[in-house]
Amino acid sequence: MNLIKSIFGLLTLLFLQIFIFNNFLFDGYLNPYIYIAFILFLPPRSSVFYTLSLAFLIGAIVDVFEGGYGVHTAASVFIAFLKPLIFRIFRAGKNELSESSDIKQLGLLRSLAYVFKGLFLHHFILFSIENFALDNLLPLLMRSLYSSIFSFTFVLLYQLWNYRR
Amino acid sequence: MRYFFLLLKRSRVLLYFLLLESIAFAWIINKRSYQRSQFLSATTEIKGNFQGLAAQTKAYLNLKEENEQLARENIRLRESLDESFIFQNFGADTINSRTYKQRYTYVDAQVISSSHFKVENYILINKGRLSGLEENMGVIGPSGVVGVISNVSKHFARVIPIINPNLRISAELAQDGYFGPLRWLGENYRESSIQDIPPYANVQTGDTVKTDGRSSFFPRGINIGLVKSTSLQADQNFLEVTVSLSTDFAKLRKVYVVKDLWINELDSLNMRP
Repeated sequence: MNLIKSIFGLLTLLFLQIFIFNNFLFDGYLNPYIYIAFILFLPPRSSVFYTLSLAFLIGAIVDVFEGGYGVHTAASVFIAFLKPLIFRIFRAGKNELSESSDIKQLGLLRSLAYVFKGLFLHHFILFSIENFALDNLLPLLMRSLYSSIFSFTFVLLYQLWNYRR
Repeated sequence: MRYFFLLLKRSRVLLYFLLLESIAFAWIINKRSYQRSQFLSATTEIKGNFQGLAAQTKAYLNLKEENEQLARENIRLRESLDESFIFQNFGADTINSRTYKQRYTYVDAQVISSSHFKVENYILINKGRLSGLEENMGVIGPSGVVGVISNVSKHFARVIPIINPNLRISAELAQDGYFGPLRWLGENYRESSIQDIPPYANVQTGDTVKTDGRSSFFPRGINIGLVKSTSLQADQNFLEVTVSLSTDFAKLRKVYVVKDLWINELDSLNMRP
């Protein structure tokens, strides 16, 4: 049941990403990429191989539909690899939770910070790979920041909707 | 050997990560393969069908502005018709009959999705192979050059606009006649730049930049934009001219695809060794 639920969640996210967010809603300076939230919300205890493979698959699907040629794949695999690290940073001082730890157990503020950090990193990596150069770093950073704030808002809304059901 | 396997086992996550990343980067780097273009024309079809619906609604909301744009263009076209010219023949004893033959025809199309803030921007239009479109046909808009078709599916086509670094077209400074490749630098979608203009060219701010007819994509003299500034190139030998583009990719709706009727004959000359 849980599996079906998460597959449904993944499909919803991908659908929103490919047919709404990629195209007509904010096709401009702000590019919200919400699909990475699925990786970020995976239980922290899940195997790294599983996370990496899933990230590869999701990134590839988004790439195919956006014509990004591997940009999304590279970025989301990278995030999947960094995820345990990011999670550990925000778990600092709450080590007693190490067994069966879950995002919910981070507390509201920390989990929000964790998701935002993940989104921001993903946008930054994505835009850097897309540019294939780091020469105009400031615009890149600003663009990542604005876009990740945007994505963050949508991820929050999505989560609210998810919990209500 | 045992230690080697131990090392392998310990760093298996890292190795798997590196494997996946190298696949992704190989994909990024090989983006110009034949398989990709085949694949793209299939996904173009799927995407196009979905977005056509949204584009229709959008087009309806933009009808007013579009009408004005078309009206302006009609005026411009009407001005260039024969009936807008007066024929005066002072004492000549022969009259030239028409020796012109049609070289270009146009197919009108609607933009159904486009991007202008990315580095590699693309445009989807709602006409495809069934309307006679093929790859490498030029696309122009009401106010100037838009781009070149890169993939065609049955009902849709994908256009590389001039605001994509992968497309270079030849541009000419209308005043001087010097020409060079127009290449987008990936920053501002209202600007592009022409390289390799000789330093003795007298380029003024505000000069018109047009297509020069050296490529088979566009007829000669289609607007590209106006000269904004000039600077020496990094190699110090040539000028780089910054052009403010006349097409506003943020509100492009209606485009015309240029069909060169003589392309086969021209190509047969080019192909010859």
